[in-house]
Amino acid sequence: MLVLGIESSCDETAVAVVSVSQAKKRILSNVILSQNEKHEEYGGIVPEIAARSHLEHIHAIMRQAVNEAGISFDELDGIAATAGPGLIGGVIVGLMAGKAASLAYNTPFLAVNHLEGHALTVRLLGDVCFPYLLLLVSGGHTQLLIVRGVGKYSLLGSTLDDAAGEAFDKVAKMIGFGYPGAAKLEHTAKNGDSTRFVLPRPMAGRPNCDFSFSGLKTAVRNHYDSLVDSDSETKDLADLCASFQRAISETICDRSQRAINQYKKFYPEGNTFVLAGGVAANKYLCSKITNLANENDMVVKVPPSNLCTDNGAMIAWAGIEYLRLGKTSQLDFAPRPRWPLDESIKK
Amino acid sequence: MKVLGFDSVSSSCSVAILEDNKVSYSKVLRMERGHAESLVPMINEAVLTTCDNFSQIDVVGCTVGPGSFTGVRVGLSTAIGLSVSANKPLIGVTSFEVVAERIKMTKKQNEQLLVVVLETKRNDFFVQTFSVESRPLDQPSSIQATEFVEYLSSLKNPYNHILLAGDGVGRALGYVRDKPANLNLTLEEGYGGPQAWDITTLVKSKFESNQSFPIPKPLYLRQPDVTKQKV
Repeated sequence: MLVLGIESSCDETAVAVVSVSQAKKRILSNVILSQNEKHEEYGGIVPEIAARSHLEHIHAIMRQAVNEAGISFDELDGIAATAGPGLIGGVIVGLMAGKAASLAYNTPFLAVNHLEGHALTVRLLGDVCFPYLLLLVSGGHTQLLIVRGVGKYSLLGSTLDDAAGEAFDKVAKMIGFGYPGAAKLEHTAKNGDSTRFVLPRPMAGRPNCDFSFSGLKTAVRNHYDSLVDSDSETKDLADLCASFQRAISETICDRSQRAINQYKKFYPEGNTFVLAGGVAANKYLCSKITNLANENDMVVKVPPSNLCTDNGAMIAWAGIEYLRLGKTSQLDFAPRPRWPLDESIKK
Repeated sequence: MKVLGFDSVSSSCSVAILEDNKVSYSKVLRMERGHAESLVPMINEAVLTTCDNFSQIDVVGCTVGPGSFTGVRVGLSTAIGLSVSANKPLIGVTSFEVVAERIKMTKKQNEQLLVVVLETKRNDFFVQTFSVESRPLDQPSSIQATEFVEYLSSLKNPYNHILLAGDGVGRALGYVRDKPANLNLTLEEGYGGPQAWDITTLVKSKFESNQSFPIPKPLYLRQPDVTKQKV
């Protein structure tokens, strides 16, 4: 089974080809074009600029993915494209290109929920069985879910304001690291004292599994504003980064512990904790989550960072999961800027 | 030779197929939104009505704008998906060219310039002027509605007659009351925005007169609304 996946819901134009034969799963190509530079000067992603960039590059990325995979379009068993949630202008570009390509050879079409792409990636990489607990942390989403099966999700909690990745980027921007600055923040934090600044752990101890990061962001700003220019400026920033990274990671761990409790209540035998989304590339958070899971006798599965950030392979894989169940989508599938994972998926 | 043409940048969604020199299929659906849902099934129906399968289509053409940004993206990304996957030449035409093509076909443009006026749903119009031979005389541009008469008066016009066509004509009328007395306007209101059957004939002639077919670029005629962050 050979499936092409298209992803264009945020600021990456990505196309990949994934194959499955018997039990062997292979990523034959995984082409990603990031638009970071185009949005840098605006301090965040500008939807119209993102959409225009997707349209400008989609043809070249599609061609490259197919060429690198060494296949042609008429060999494909399915064409999968992100249909949402995300920035509508970009979603439209990938979705329409995917629907059109599927028309050309009458290839089955699969409209994929972007979040489901992240949620199922671990099954592309290994044999991970349902049900598993999923912490999805990215620039646009922060959710805890029980993945009961393909298309079967129980949402335990999500963010009330910023997504975790958004909080990282906004704090990085606030302290002068520019956009996107999350990676620089993580790097700077390595040399910092994470106990120096007292920061809140928003929502910690609450009975639900929801997140909130706006108060934490404000607290960082207050500390930052009170820093005086001095010789120890570099040290101050490193300490602030380390304190913030620790605070947000511990907050996420507190919420995750709640989710583990609920998951174990439904599935006492369940022992898989999956970490996915772009923020999963943060090594500090990753080690904190690993410790937490181990304390709860759970195994942590984290895709490699190039499959945690947005990519086409995860969309192709989600397409394969549906195709194996005999489910396909119609060519009139509408782009969905909002598309909760736990909603029953209309195919 | 079979040409598939479609448009989704205006207040309709249209698909047509030209076989040799005859439009053998044409469908137009009026819609303000919903192009992303309708377009691909409409193309599918057009192909299945006129061919055994898509491989029998020789050329794909679509409007690249100007029009609604969403419409431009819907149409062009669909065309790109078809062209890249099936390895078919893709030819983009502007909304102006398509309206000018229609006027040329109807032979209504005698001794007058043609100004194509397209709706922007804002305080401006998209405009471009064509000679009697359907040759563009200026670059496509957007002008403020209040500057419309000024634009018309500034044209080098040997005839003192101008034919206005396009889906912006109705609204533009409200701005031409104070026009100079020597400027005579004829209005072609019946024909609105670009339609697929005209796209196919235009695309066919471009296909026959060109050797290479790079992926066409969208024509937005407006920068994204953004401000740079304060330093």
